[in-house]
Amino acid sequence: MLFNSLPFLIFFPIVILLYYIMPAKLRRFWLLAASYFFYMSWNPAYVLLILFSTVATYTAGRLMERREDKAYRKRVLAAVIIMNLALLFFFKYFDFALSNLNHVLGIFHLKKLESPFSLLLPVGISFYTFQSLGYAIDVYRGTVSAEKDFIDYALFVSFFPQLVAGPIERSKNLLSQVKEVSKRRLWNYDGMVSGFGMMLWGFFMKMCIADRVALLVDTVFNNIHAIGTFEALAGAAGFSVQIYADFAGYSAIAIGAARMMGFTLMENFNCPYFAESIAEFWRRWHISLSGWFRDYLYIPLGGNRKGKFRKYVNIMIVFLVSGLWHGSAWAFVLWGGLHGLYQIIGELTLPLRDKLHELLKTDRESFSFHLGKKVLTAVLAGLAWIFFRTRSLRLGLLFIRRMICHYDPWVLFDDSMYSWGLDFREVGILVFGVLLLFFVSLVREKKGCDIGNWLLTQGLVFRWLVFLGLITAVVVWGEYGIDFDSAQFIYFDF
Amino acid sequence: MKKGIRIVIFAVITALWLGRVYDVLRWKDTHGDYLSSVTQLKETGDVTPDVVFVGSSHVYAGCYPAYFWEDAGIAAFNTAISGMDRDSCYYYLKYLFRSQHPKLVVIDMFCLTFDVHEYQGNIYRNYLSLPLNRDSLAQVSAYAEKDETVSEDLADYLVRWPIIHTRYRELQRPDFIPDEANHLGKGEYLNWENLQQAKKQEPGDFAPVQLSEDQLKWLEDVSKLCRENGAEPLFMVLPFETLRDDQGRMDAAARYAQEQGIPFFDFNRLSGECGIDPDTDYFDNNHLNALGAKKIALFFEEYFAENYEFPDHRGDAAYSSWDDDLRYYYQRKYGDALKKETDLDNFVDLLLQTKDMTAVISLEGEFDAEEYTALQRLGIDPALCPGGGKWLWSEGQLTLLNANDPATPEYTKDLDEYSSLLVRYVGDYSANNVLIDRRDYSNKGKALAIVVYDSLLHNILIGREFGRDNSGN
Repeated sequence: MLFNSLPFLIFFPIVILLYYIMPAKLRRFWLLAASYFFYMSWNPAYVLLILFSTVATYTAGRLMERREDKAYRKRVLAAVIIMNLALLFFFKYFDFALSNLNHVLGIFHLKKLESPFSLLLPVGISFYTFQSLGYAIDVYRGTVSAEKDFIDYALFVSFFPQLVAGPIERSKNLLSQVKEVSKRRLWNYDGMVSGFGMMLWGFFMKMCIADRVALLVDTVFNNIHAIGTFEALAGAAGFSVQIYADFAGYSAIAIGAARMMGFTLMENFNCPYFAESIAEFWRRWHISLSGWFRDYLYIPLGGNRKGKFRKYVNIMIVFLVSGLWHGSAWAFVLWGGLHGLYQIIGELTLPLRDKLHELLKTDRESFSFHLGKKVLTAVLAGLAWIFFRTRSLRLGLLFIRRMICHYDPWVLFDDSMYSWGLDFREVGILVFGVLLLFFVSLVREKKGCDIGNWLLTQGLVFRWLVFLGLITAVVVWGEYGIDFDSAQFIYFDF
Repeated sequence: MKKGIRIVIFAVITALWLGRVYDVLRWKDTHGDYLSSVTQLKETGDVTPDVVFVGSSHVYAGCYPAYFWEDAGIAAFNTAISGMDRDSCYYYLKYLFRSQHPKLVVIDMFCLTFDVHEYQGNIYRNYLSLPLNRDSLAQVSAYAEKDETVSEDLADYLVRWPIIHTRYRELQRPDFIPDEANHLGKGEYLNWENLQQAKKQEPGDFAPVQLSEDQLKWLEDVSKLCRENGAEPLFMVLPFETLRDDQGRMDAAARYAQEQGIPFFDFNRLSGECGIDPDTDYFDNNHLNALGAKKIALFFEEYFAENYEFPDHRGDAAYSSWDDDLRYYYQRKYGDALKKETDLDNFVDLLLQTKDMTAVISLEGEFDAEEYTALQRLGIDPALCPGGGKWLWSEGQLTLLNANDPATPEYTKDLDEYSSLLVRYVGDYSANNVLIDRRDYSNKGKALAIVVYDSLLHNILIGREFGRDNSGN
């Protein structure tokens, strides 16, 4: 059940209506049932996986809390990590591992192995596995107490707004809110309004921007052999916009839906293309995952506490793993590796750049200096996205080669750009959407709050006009319905 | 509580607004060219026609209610939709019977020749045109059982938004301003073209084809539905290019009709008797034009006179909309003739016969007054105005707007609520001497330029130049 689908438009109002009118004691049961129903709408069989992950981490938490013995706790933690990662490996990486093994066997002219399984990646497995592992590690560290109530814990793992594509929540934040569901007064007009605004904005980003620019991006990336400099630039820039609008759009819907039910989910995006370095980019992009890797991988590896070399190694480990988390292909590893390299090179060249700026007497507070850094960061991120989109090292390099070697400015004037998936009208709508996205990002950057909360501070008439405008834009300009092969949210694949 | 009320008010505003947006985006076409028999039926209100025709494009091309009205005062209505299939026919009739109680329903049998639509556009015309109600939901659900392309997207068809929202890419004026033809017409598709030589022969005797259970059930259901609603069914087949199996099905339907005592007319077999001429009476191989429709009307008028007692409603104020339909027919007829006419004498004659055309006549440059004697019938004597001039012909009245004098102030007039006229004189053959909206109808090189505006249907009909070419080209 995609957010941008008719079933969800029926499902969500029913869930929220009953949620508010039913006795408080029943709410958590209702939300749990709704969450499992939501998950089972993809494939009922995969409910066993989430149930397994939930039971395993719940049990591990209880076991760890029962004894003070650190070695015992470590063994329990190791066991639950192995169990969960084994599950993730089996469903997500088995075929990838097998194809690599076959490649090696091929080198030695040995018979290739055939996969005994026909596996489909269970939607959201990377997200809820990480969320529940985060809980287990927190219990091990003693930063949170083990949850005793299985229903509450199961709801924490499966809470439907963020179940299939995050934000990857921390038990400290979400579990504590789950425990309040039966107790506190939930109805909150401001939360409803703000959440509704977030959801509308999320739908706009996904359906009007991401799925529209996808038509251009798909045409460009499906015809790499025929593209020139400007088509490639449009495709690369388009994908940077698409993946952001897609994923941030999903997160906005998730956060908005949760907010309408009285829950506060963590922020997942904070204007990433306004970042002035790759390190900052990762503090703004998929914040819940970056934070997860920081807390549960980078710091345990030693972080920056064991010298510069070890720090760089740790950075590379984190980003290579992060790449692999995004997909079972070497191109994703390369993408992660590129981001790691960007950071390391950035740090290594910092003294040199400082000297250069001193020499040139650069005003580092000037607007142009900040703008230049933002543009450079966005270009570097966009370059890495090419490998992410092609999912192939060879195609990624071919794309870049054509971008550099096939310079034909005439395509900017002969209207042929309008044959790359978007005609003149659609380009106009896309440009409007991107400008609006830019404006909303500016508001986020300057005011420090998301669009839902910002609208709360505005007058009623303006707010209603914005709501009506967004509703109209989504239902008219949104990419959905007949003849539209709805791209599901990109991050559902991870 | 106050905040709860706010939510309710916002929900109501949103619903009203989306209703308005839906009205712009909704499907408005059953015939092509934004003509919709569904809209026309709605415009007819609760005045019941005596005869209703229902069926495919053959019917809207071949049965003109205007003829029945003009000849016999019979109030007829044509509820055809392009490629109307069996489910659509049945549910359209159900919809019609909610507000209308005709005495006779003439049903096209063409839908027996196919089970599923070949063209997406016809699916839309048939399944997005009826107002959203219980019948339209049942209609699309029934058809979806036969057509997997629809069953795959059944929810989209039921809700409609997912389909019609993409119409923002193709919106035209009639999406915002209702087309006058949909207010005036009675479901016919007026056409005077004779684009193709129809190579038609009456079909021979073919081996009978067995109708399927589904087809027989439809014949039974549709007859029953008519009778339950007090209407007699009559089956017909209008001329179309029949394949062997198609004609076999028509013959099988004829046998069924005979068994059930239902009148049946197969104009594939009767076209000779009706005097339908393949050379003049078709606008393509499957559709009659206005001349062919006239012959069908004459045939039915005779049959109705012998077998039914339909009252003559002419003069009855309640049926005045059929007068409008006739007016619409003649407006289109003269409009079509004006578009085709290149001879000035004939052009002026046609102009004189029409009430609802507005013309701007512009005479410029060097001209030989004798060439333009035809204009005298409109009240212009070129011999008396050697410098030429610009005149407005409207509702049979002629007004001199400018005697080609640059000092004369420019003349502006709203032709209706949608279009405006501007007339001035800057110089002979100058641009923008005659403008309707922003389109230029000034003399381009010939001495006489006439632009005709259709005041009934609110569109520019034609801009034409006559006479000597002074452009030097």
